[in-house]
Amino acid sequence: MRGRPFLRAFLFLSIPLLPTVARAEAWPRETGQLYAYFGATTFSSSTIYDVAGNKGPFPGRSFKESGDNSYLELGLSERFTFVGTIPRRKVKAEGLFNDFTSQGLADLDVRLRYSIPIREGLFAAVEGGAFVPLGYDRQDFPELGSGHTDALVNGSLGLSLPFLPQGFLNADVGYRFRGGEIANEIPYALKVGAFPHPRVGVFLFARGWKSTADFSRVAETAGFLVSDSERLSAGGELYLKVSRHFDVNGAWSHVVAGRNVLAGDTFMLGVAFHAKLF
Amino acid sequence: MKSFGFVRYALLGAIAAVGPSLSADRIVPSAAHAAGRNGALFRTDLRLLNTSRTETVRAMLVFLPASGGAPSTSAEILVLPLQQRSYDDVLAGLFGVTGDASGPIRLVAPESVELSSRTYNVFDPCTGGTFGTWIPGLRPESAMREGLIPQVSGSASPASGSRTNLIVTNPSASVAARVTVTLKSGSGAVLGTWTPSPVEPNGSVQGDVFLAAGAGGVTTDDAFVQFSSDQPVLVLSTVIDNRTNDAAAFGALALAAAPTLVKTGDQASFTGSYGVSGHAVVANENLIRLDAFRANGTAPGLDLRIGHAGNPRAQFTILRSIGRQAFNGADLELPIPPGLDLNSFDTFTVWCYEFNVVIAEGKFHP
Repeated sequence: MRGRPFLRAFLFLSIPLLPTVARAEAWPRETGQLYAYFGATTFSSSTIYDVAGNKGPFPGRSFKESGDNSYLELGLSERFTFVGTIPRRKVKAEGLFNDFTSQGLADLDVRLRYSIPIREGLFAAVEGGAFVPLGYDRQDFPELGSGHTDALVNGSLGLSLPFLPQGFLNADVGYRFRGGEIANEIPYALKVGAFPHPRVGVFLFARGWKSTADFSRVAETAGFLVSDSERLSAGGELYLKVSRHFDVNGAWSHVVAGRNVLAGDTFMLGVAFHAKLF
Repeated sequence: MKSFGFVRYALLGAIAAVGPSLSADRIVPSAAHAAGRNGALFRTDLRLLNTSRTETVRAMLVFLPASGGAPSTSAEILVLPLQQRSYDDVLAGLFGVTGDASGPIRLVAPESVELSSRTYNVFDPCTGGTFGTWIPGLRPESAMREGLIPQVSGSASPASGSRTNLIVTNPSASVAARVTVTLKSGSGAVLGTWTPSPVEPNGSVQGDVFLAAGAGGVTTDDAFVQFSSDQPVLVLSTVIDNRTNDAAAFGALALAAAPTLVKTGDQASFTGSYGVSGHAVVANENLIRLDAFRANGTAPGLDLRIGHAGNPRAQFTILRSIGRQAFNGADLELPIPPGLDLNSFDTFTVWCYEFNVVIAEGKFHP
C-alpha cells in the first residue's frame, strides 16, 4: 500500500469489520496480521425442505448438531491472505425408534485469497481453495461429510458504506466443484454491517448455495445423507470488540428456503484473537 | 327378460336327492317348447352321453322355467357305458310341458356324462324341415365375471336381418349376480346398455339384446356384446334369422388377461448408500428371490419392501426387516404375502424405517 495512503487508511478502518465467521471478506489481512477465531455452534431441526422446496416434518424425530469452528486468517502479503477452517461436529439424528450419533472432525476448508483494490472504498477478491475430509468414516451414521475432496473458486466484492459508521457491504459468489456423486454448487452470500458504537458491530447477512443438480432426479435424503441440496439462510450478528486483541460475537441464522435440506436455526458464539505476528 | 331365481331351493333339494356322488353340473342355458317371433316354433332335443367305458352312471335333469314357475325334476336316469339317452322335445317329453315354456336345464351327474342340445325351429317354409343350433351343456366353473359375445346381429325390421337373444344364467346356488351388458358396434362404439334385474341364484334372464339395450332401431350384422358381473355367470347368445328363424348360438369369450405391473421373471437391480446392492427377481407370483444382496450394516434400520415406483412411502409391503444386519452377497427368498398379486407392486426398495428414506430401489423390468 505504499504510495497509496488512502488505501492504507481505508484498510485500517475496514479490516476490523469482521463479519459473521470473522472473515475479512474481500478485504485483505495486513501482512503478518493473524486473526484466529474459535466459535461454538448449535443447530436443531424438526423440519426439512424436500426436493421440491416444500417444508415438511423431519422424517425421523429430530436432528441436532453442535460443534465448533477453529478459523484462521493470516495476511501473507499486501494482497494474499490465507484462510483456514477446521470444523468439529457432533451430530445426533433421532430416528423413529433409535438415536444415532456421530462426532469428529468434518471437512477442512483452506483458501488463498487475493484482494484487489478497485477504488476508494471498493475491494474485489478472488479465492481458490479446497474442502478436505478429515478422516471421518463415510459409513458412519449420521454422516459428517461427503467423504470427497471439493475444490472452490470464489469472487467477492467489498464496498464501504460511508453513510453508516464503519458501514460495509460484501457480496460473494463462487463455484464449488463437488467430488463424488454430488452435483457442483454455487455458493453465495450478501452481508451488510456497521458499527453504531466503536466497539459494537451489527451485521445482517443472507447466504446459501444453489445446486446444479436436477432435483427431479434427486432422492429425498434431507437430514439423512449428505447429498444434493440447496439452502438459503438469513440472520444477524452482534460483534463486540472487547480489547485490543480480543473480540466476541454472537449470531443467529434461520434457514428460510431450500431443497433436500434441513430447516432450522443455528446459534453461534465465539471469541476472536488478532495480533500482528510479523 | 324373465327371472326365476327363487327355484334355487327346489334345485338344491333335487341335487341332494340324487346323492353326493352326483356332484358335477352342466347347464344348457336355454331350452324351448315355445312359439317365437315371425312364426317360429322352437323345440329342443337333448342328449346325455356317457363317455365312460365301464361305468353306468345315474343322472338327473332339472328344468328351470324362465316364466318363474317351479322347477321340474326328472326321475333318476341311468346311462350305460358309451351309451346315449335321447330326449326329443325335452320340455314336453321329459318334463311334461304342454304350453309355451323355455329356460335352462341343469344336469346333475358324474363327470363322464356330457350334455348337449339342439334347439330348432320346426317350420321351414321351403322344405318343411328344421333350422336349428347346437346349445352346449356348460360347466358352472366356466362362468365368467366379464367376457364378450361375438357376431351379434340386430334389425330394425322384423321382416329382414337377424335378431339376437342373450341368455344370462347364474350358476351360483346362493348369491345373486348383478350384470351389466353393453352392446357395441364392430368398431367398439356403444350402441346401448342393458342392466337386467339381479340374476337370482340358479336363475337366468334372457331377451332380445338390441331391444333390451335400447337399440331396437339399429340394423347391423357387425356388433358384439361385452358383459361384466359381480358374480360368475354363463352367457350365451342365439342369433336368429328373421326370415327363416334359423338360429346360431355363440358362447362367451374371455377377455385377454390384463397386463400386470410385473411378471414372473422380471428383475430389478439396485445400488445405494451403506454398501447396499443386489438383484431382485420375481420368481413366481408368491416369491421374490434376492440375489447377491449386500449391506454393510451401518445404515440405521433397514427393511426390504415392494411397492409402487416413486411412492414407497404410501403404497408398500414390507417383505423382511433386516435392521442393521450385514449381508455379503447373500441369496434370500422373500415370500410375497397373501393378498398381493403381480399388480400390487412394480418396485423393490431397500428402505430405512428409522428416517423413512429410500436407501436403494429398482423397478422391475423384463
